[in-house]
Amino acid sequence: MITSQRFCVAGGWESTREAEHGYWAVRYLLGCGHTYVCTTFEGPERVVVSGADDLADLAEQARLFVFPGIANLVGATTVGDLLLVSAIDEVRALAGVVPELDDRIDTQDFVRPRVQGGRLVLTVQPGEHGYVPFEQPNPTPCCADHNVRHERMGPAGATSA
Amino acid sequence: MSHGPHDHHGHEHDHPHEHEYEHGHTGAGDPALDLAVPDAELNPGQLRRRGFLQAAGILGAGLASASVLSGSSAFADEAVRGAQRARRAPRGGYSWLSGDHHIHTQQSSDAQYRVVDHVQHAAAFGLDWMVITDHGSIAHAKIGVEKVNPDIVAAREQFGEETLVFQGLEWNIPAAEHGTVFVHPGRNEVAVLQEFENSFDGVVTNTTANNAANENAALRGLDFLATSVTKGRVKDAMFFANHPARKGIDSPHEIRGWRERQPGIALGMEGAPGHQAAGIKAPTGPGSGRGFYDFSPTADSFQGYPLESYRTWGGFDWMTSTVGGLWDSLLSEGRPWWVTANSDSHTVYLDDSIRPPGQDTQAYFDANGRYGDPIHGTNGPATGSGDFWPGSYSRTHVGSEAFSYADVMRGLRAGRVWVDHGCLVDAVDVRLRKAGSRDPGFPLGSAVSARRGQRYELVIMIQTRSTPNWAQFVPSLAQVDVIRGSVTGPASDRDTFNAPDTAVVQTYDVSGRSGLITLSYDLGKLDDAFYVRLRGSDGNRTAVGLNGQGVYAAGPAMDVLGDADPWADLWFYTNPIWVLPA
Repeated sequence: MITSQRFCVAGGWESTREAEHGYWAVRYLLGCGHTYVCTTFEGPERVVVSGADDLADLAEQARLFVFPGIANLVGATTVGDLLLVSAIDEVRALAGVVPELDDRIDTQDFVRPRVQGGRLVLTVQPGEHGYVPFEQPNPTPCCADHNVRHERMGPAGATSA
Repeated sequence: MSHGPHDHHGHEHDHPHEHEYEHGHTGAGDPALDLAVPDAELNPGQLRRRGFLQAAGILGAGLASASVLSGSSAFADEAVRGAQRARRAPRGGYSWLSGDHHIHTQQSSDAQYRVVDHVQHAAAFGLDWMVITDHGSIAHAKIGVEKVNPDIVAAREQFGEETLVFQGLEWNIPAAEHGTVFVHPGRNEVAVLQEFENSFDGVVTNTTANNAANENAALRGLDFLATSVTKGRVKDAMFFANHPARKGIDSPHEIRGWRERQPGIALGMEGAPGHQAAGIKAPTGPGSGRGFYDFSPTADSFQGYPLESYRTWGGFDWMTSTVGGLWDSLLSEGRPWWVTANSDSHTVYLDDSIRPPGQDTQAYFDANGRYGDPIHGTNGPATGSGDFWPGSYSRTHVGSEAFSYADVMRGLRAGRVWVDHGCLVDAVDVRLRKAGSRDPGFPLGSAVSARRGQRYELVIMIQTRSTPNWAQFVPSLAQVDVIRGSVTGPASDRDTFNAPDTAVVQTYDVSGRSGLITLSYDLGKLDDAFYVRLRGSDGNRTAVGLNGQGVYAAGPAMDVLGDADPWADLWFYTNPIWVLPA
């Protein structure tokens, strides 16, 4: 469904990453370029991509892979800087920990905040050098070689477009 | 070495080495299974089998119930759980046989070792029993499950005096995670596993998607295993859920459903996943999440789980590590559900062997059901491998009455089980008894029918580690937690994963102590039904509990992604004992 403000694509994708790639493949056909583009789950094995120009039009728990400033989120930075240069409203750590503005965060060039209570929230976890985003760019594949080291993905939103 | 009276680490198997293989089987309508037929009317073979099934808890009143409670009205007496569960510990104690029920070989497309590679390491590291669990797959169902058997049989011949080797497989549970399924050795072990895999493996039958039909297929798989036992095709069979919180796809209602459907088969879950070296820092380690727990929710995940559930805590799965969490919500219902700890060994950290060139491709694997035997590699140690050899880090200790396949399975089914990492301690023995009595008491896993108003105590005997572990240091135990929760009966919400009443009620500081530590914890006069369980740690990394300071102040901390030294954060956990007013 495509409206002037919103669109929604259900491409039969099973994972959020497949859905992201699917979106970039058909984006020009859709002729849309929304400010916010996200994935949501609509039942088992059903990932849906939708977009809007207003964050308020996105579902709770929507996971964003396009949002203002995502291209700025590469390499390591601080929590405060991340909030300044992107549309992310808040950084939360797991287990109720509240990060300080000058805490270090390694973006791993892969940042996927979620809509929580109408705000764009990035959940982070402790890593080797400060925080890293909760969602990992290359989670260990299941039933594939566990000893394979994966290359970092490029800044997904920025480069695949 | 100053071992405790019941310690088994020195491999003093002075008990009979029973190797109970079945001889022949019968179909349905077997009078041995029909308890209306009195023992006197059975022939000796039928009588023997009935006795075995009863002792194993498969036949009879005990496991007709998925709960320690007697259904609707009053809480259960001992009969509800079957004689074995509420039996006092034998005077001489149990032999605690340490084992590992989750191990992959060259018959798994993501692994590489021979059976004997694992077995000889496990034997050297002191394991008493182990289960070979290659992944369910089309190639495995067609070829691997048969091909691995002669290797297992040969390993039994060679190492059977030290280490019992079960054949199992790692089931892709329809609509859910992986699980260990294994059977008692016997002439039908391959046939039963193969038929199970062809009929009920999620990958083989394309039933991995999370929907109601596939959830039901999982239950049918458990039915098949139960029937394989009652029909006498195999002497025993069991299932444990593996790495249950890894991807959030084992929902609370599925776990409850498995246990309820076949309480004699579906016995528990990994309290701690394998891959414990996966969090060692790069570049000398994999630099991943401990246990390779580095996932995020997917469309198939149970969306109610918090993000914290996708990570390990002190090396343990969130379902087990969170006091008042999912495991406790099952225990507080009165639902027997045990925890284990295993290696999930595929490729071992710093091992330098490789698959042989030419026999290392997916095409070779698909055609042959296995990779070629590993060879010495020239790339140096595998810093990206996240696993340990069986027995060198994760251990599941089972209170057994003899060194036999059947006794290990009995002990597992009874929940006489504690687990540890890094050889944190040599022995843990916990007994529940009337306060001040000389009663030998009831062991781990018991549901004890007790008198209201009677005072009870928990006697905790811990033998600290006396010799270096497999990282060449002697771990020291710093703290022991007693965890207690009310038994509140079946939850109305089958997807609940909270037990708000369960908390750490006592923490013992035992730092600096060595040898046999005996602790006595006064449980007070019995009023309402409750359960107790223990855990302990080296005290190196602790954090306030996920459910708040009131639940515990110094529990396991979330493992740091890419910086989790498994040897510097060691825990043990025991299974529970219930105390139920008669």
